[in-house]
Amino acid sequence: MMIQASDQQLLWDYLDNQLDAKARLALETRLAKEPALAEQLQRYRSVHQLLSDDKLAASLPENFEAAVLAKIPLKQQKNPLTASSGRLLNILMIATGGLTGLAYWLQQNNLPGLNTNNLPLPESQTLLMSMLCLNGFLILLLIDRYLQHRRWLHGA
Amino acid sequence: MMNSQEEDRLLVVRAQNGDRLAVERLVRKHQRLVFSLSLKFIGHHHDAEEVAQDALVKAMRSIDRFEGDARFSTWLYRIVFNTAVSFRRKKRLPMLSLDEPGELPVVSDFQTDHALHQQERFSQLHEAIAQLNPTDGLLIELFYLGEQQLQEIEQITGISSNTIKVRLFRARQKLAAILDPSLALR
Repeated sequence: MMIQASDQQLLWDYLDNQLDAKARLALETRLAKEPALAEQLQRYRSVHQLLSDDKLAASLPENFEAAVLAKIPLKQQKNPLTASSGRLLNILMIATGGLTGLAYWLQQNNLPGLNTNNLPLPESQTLLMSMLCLNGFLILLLIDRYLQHRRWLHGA
Repeated sequence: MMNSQEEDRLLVVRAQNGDRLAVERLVRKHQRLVFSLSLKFIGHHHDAEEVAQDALVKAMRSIDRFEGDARFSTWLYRIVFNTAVSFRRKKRLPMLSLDEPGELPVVSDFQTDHALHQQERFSQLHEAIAQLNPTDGLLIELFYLGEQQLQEIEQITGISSNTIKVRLFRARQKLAAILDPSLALR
């Protein structure tokens, strides 16, 4: 007797525990009444048991585990970008960048923002340059951190 | 008794805190399936070994980025999948076809005797899976051996759950027909 494709799918779903309680019960009622369907289920069950057995997984090559563990450092290192020092660096970068931008904007608009400390113009320029230098230094630190991150990611 | 998922969760927390033994246990627990999946993705034993090792090392090195919003195994298999895709791209190997259903395997060479020794049945099944479309073989491994749900396989492979369901059905039908040719007639 030909079993319909939808019933075949139903049988697999039953074996895979993909049916809800109501659908399971409905199918079990049918199985009790339809021997052909029950026979098909038994045949699928033998295949299903084989598929679910972990012997199906491929055998590992020799020394696989040792080779993997040898590539993982003894002490797990934190990701340089998400470690607390990496986060602090990111915050410092953003803060200094913001302050530099503000200083530049104040100077360009001749606003007295830098003169709140009564600094004459040449000194405010020096301050701006210092902040730019600090920002450049932080950018270099950040690049170094990204390079560390890449090395960390690729296991160097 | 602790189930596999809970055990993974505890091991991951310990590994994230730098516990070397937890890392080793995670590797030991998942390595066989990682290799098996890599073999399905890559198809070549030596290259699969490289991909599997690379994926496990990447996963263990970036374990502090695992946030627990999915199962650890799903996260790990996603790394295996990405590593395999990169490897195939680097080696200019053709990508796995996610749309082609694949040809029906030949069933005539297989024996029909139900009383076959279990080991022989396994080797038959291995041969049968080898005849499937590689993507179907991969889905079978993820679903049955990896014990991944359809939605989790979708996260790993990017194939929609509905397509996975259809492909799994076809693949199982093919395998059943190979292992029990009388089923092919139904």
